[in-house]
Amino acid sequence: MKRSIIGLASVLVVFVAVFAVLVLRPVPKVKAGMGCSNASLHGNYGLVLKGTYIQEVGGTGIYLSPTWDIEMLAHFDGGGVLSGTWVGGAYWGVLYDPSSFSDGSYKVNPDCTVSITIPPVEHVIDDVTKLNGVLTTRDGDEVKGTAYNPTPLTGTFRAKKVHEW
Amino acid sequence: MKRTIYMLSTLLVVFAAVFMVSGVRPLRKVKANQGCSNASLSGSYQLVMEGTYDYDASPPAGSYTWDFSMLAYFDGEGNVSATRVRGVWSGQNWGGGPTSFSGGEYTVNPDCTLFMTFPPGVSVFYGKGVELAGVVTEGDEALGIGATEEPWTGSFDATKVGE
Repeated sequence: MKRSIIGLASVLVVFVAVFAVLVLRPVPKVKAGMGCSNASLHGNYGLVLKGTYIQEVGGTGIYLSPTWDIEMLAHFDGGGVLSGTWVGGAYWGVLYDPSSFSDGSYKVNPDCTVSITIPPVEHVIDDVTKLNGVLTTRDGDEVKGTAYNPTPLTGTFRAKKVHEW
Repeated sequence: MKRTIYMLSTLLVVFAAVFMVSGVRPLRKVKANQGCSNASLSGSYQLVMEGTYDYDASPPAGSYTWDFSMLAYFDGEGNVSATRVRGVWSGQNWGGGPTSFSGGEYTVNPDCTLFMTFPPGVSVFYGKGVELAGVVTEGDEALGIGATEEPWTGSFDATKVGE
């Protein structure tokens, strides 16, 4: 009889311990102390780059700044590789057909600053584009920052996580 | 002694049940097979579009900031309408003429990418139709880019209105 009680009590203790680990979740607290890393950006994100394309009007010294915006479904692999699908661009009232790329890269620093490199994308992005930003939430659900390339394109960007299904 | 065993057994069963509910999380597994759909956009959304009208008439050519806002309604089945469609330009709030539309369409793909169109007729779009492409994200939000024939070019952000 005593053996039964000890057995049941032991199983109960194990369940309580596992339950405490899963529910109280001390892991995020550990992550908070460790800072950010490439793993902080992981999964699919909706990314929009709001830019302007600076151009001079025929040597007049007058510069125009028409909007040149870009959107994509960006996939961060958690290890520094960025790919994009549904990459679309809008310029001078035209939505360009979506394209894709697979050889982008990114780096998340311990202070949660982020640098992203997007390669040229047919019909949408003419040059290698650099993005510098910051993770705005500890769990990496959103990134905001600035963007530029030598086209010359200048602007800001925002990436927000897509539901994990 | 029997009462002790009975109590321990009861506690064990309760913990096992709670563990199953909170640890296994069957809801997420159901969602895993669903992905996004037109139903991912459903209800009233505050939709803001930021961009420029770009004119190549000479002289002078120009790019003028024109931003828009509206209360958009997505029916969850691919139809979108809107009221209070307003535009701001040159320090003024524009919105004379038709400030609402119905008959817009949208498609949300399983990977959560989004494409939608607004029909011609709204005054602040100079009567032109609007095309928008983007992504549906967490937090009942959609973001992306847009364009009209006028030509206007810009980005948009749609956030669900509290129900």
